[in-house]
Amino acid sequence: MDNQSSLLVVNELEHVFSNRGQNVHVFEKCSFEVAPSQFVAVQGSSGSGKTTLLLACGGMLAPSSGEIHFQGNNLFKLPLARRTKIRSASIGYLFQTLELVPYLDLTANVKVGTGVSSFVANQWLDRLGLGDRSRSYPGELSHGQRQRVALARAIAHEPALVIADEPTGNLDSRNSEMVFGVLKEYAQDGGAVLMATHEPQPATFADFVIDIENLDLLKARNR
Amino acid sequence: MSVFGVFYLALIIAMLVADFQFANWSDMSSLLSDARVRFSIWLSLISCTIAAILSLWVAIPTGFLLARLGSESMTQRLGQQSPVRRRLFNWARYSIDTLLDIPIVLPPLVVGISLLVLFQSPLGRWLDQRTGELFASLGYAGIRGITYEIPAVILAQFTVAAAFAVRTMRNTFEQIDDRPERVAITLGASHYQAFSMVALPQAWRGVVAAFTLAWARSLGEFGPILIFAGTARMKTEVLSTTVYLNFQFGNLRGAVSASLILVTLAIVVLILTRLITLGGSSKKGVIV
Repeated sequence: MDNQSSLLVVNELEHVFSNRGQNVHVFEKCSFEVAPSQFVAVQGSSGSGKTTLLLACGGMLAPSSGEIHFQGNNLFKLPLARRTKIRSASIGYLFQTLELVPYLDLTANVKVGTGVSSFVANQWLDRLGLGDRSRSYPGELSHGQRQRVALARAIAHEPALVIADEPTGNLDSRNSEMVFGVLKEYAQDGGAVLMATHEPQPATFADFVIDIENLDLLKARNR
Repeated sequence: MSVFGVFYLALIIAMLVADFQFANWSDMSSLLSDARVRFSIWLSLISCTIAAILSLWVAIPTGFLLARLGSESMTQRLGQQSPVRRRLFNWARYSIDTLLDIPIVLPPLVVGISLLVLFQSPLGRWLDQRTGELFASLGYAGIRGITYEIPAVILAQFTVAAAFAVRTMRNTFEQIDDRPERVAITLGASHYQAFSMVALPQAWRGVVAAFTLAWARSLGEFGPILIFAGTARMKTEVLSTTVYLNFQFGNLRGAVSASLILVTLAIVVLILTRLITLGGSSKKGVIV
């Protein structure tokens, strides 16, 4: 895969934070590329830095060193307003903490930030099995259902790249399959997906896997 | 409740009881049969409503900006900037905050005199003239400008009421967590969208409270109206000036009856507000 065809290029990324006077290296020299139609999984145990890597790829957390190019733009060389504009137009983000607005119904939650119409928002809710709950509030749903709402919000405006931080973390196997199915279908339709997961066998659904705890072994397995 | 609290409550109840005992229904009916009093009631209701709506237009965005400029996230963001910029920003914020409080602390008569002097300046006279022309073109030739006309009543009420509404909206937005707004902006919403789609729906109880407070303040406003709008009967007379005029002419029963209309209106509005905003936790908006 070359840089021209890649949507996201991560180059020699490092992140270090200070904890009680000691530098903690979250990850070092992390490099990979994501092309359109690719489904990439980031694997690692809890606290290994998956969320940090995804936040950096989403342009929300400046890494200590290294570069992140998205659609040819060096994200952290751009002014904040331009970076936000690119992210809002071309990246859909599913936060691990979901960040749904508790006092807005599900349709309004999907519309927040994405700018999609109520019709499109409801279509995505329907596709994720929540069509009959569009007037409900996040507090009235189970955690798994809330995760699906957050996925609908990340995907509804059809961004070039969907970044999903553990989207199946609290789902049963049937709902996990539904979420993977939607994300796979999205990738097959031309959108790229970068997903953090703790699933034991991510290679069964991802085009390639980044093991964040063994970056030396990072290898692409294009299908 | 403290002993002083009980005493204060007893004082309020005693005043209301004394008013109701002093006036009787015949006084009230004779007052209400007076066309000039009916005009002052209608003018009060209309002018207070317009002043309260205008106050909300100012208070909602201003209260939101003041609350968010003083928020923790803004403080953190400023912390990353130079100390000089941080100090300048804080100085500007405190100055705006103080300026917005001036109508609250100024004696009402001073507000009226200041408005009167303002509308004697070249800009004020120009505005006065243009307003007269505007009303004439709309078919209200009787309203010849602002000063000593109905617009003066509304402007005098608005000047004081808006300050209270801003304070209420600021308190409301300060109590609302700004994280959902920041998430919305992160996801691509504009600042306006984050305000209108995320912050405002959460603040509706505060909006009702600000409207009520502005309306009630406008209803009780007297000093600025006396100076800036005058007390011309069937022209700029509102309920508070009816009380004053009756008292001036020695008609104490008429003054008390007019006061009772004011008291009744205020109580009805307060009860309605409590009913509308009932059932929410304090985090879902503020009732002051």
